[in-house]
Amino acid sequence: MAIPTKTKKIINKTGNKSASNFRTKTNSVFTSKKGLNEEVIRDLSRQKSEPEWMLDFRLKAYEVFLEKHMPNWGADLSGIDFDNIHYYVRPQDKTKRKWEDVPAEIKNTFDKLGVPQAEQKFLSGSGAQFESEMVYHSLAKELAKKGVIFESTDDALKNHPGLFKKYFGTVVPAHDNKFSALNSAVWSGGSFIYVPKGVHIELPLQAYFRINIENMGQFERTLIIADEGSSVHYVEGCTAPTYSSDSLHSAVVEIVVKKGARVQYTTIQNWSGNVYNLVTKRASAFENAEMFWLDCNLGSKATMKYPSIILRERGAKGEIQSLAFASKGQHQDAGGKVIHLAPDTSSTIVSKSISKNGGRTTYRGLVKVIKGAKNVKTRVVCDALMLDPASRSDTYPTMDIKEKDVAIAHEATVASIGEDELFYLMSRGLSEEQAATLIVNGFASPIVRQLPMEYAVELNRLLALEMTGSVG
Amino acid sequence: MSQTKTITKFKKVLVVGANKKALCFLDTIPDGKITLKKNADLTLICLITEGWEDSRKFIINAKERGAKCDCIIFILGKNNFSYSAKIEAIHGAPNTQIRARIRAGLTDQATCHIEGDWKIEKTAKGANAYFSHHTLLLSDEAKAKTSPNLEIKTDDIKAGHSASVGKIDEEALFYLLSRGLDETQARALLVQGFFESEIMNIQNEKIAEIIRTSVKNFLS
Repeated sequence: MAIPTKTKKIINKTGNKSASNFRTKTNSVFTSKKGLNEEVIRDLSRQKSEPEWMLDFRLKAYEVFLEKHMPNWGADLSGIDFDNIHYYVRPQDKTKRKWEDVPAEIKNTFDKLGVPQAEQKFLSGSGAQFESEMVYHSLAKELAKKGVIFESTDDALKNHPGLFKKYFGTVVPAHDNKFSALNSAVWSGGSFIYVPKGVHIELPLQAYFRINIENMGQFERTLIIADEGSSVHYVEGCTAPTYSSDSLHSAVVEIVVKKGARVQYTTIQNWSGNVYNLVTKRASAFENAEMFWLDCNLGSKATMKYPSIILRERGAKGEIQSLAFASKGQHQDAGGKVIHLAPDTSSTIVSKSISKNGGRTTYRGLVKVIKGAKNVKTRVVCDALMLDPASRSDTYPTMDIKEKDVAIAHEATVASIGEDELFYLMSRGLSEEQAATLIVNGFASPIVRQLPMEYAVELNRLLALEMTGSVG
Repeated sequence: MSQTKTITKFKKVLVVGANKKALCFLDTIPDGKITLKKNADLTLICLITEGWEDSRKFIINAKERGAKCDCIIFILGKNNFSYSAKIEAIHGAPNTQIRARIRAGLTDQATCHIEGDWKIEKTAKGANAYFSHHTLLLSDEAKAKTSPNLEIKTDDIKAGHSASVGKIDEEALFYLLSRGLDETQARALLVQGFFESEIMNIQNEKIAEIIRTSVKNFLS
């Protein structure tokens, strides 16, 4: 596929390493004090003029957060200091809908990242998260006419209270884990999408996330509801500037896929090397519905993320594909969970991970089939590529099967780059680094080629960048 | 290499000495530890019918260079027996190899939970690790849980695992029925086939025959 010149320019911009290392000075209107207590939550809720039930929800979640222990498995989270984090930052008072109204310095940041162009080319609507609140939100007119809602989660709480209350917290309850409780207590921003019955959104909807104030936790909350027979593809992309002290990102994503609907949720993540990325993502799929998580994790200090799908009714399908890249000092603990609660449901999990320079990747997954879920089919494949002896790769798949009428398959391979592969490519005139990059790109390509084109190109660039200086 | 030694029982600890070759044929997954010295070569075959109550921990430690363990486990699970074990395989030295293949057929209310922890330490260049666990569920009440885990701390190794859970292939069953077999015969034959794909890898013909007989008696 030929790349238009305009897109090439964007790619050159975004592919450049410095592009994600800049930091724009912004004037935040309201920054909460560091640390968390009931008063901070009350303050935050008051600032947002939220209804009483949401404040109650937050305070209850805060209690759960205090009660829950830190996970004693997975990545090392001992570096998180909950008292040294800003829990709420708001760059401007109101969410803007038009691009022209967005302040110049913020616009400038997005320009460097190529967001508006990307929108023109590929996207029908865009919500970009800059710090905690949506600053830019536009939605193609036809979609609004069809009844599609694409707003910041905060706005949706005000504008669609009935719909919001019906679904909020139903897929990921506050007491699910310590970090979902934390998110429930202090959530801010994120996207809310409602697609009415029978409506198909052809182009992907996009939100761009960035963390911009040092020590600021980003706790966005995304809720997607695809009503019967509808379809939507949501893309979330992340780049964050590099900072000296540790940042926490702890999002919750809830998705409801109703009868016959289809949702694809694509993530490209490139957090800076000091971010703790602890995200709870879960989808609930009903009769003949289809849920697809496509998850690409680069960067961050530690990631713990296991997109999950609960297949609740007959004929529901789930697919999780993920790519993880861990470099020096990074631990990508990722995977996927599928729970089959109904007959004739099927799922696929494909996980590819690359570790280099002492990086550590972990696949952690679960496939569960309850009794009575007949004719379930599932396939799990995990492949790991290790680029040097200092790196580490773990695989922890679990299959819990309580029904006989099933077909469950799992396979995994771990390998390093073959000497003969390198030799062959080098004999064709490539340098060792080019050859290794080519092999890594080839390894990742089954996942990468499913991304929207622009993202695929950007991700390949990022992989190439990560590979720079990794050989010899 | 010295003469192959056959072991049918051991308590808690088994050490296979340097350059020794041993064959171990057991009727259970032991609650204990096997240590393999330099270039030790152990073939471990387990034919299991009786279950046990608590979960067991079985450790295979390839401690010195070139140690090798080939492990084939057959579980013929029935009644309300439980077969629950954690198998830890440690590759602690270069060119060590621990390969385990488990085949479980479960009927009645049998439950089987195998956790395989395959570890390749930093010092284990050229290690070769393999773990597979395939389960055939033969009744509505049977349950299986499997966690084939890999922890790999260095590159230049070979590691793989696979697991599957399923029932008797309807198409194969239909084929056999169309050839004039009755359903009981056809099912028994398919179960035998499921186990045979590992039995055929056993070099000791005597042991292979014992397992074949047990499999034949399993469903009758």
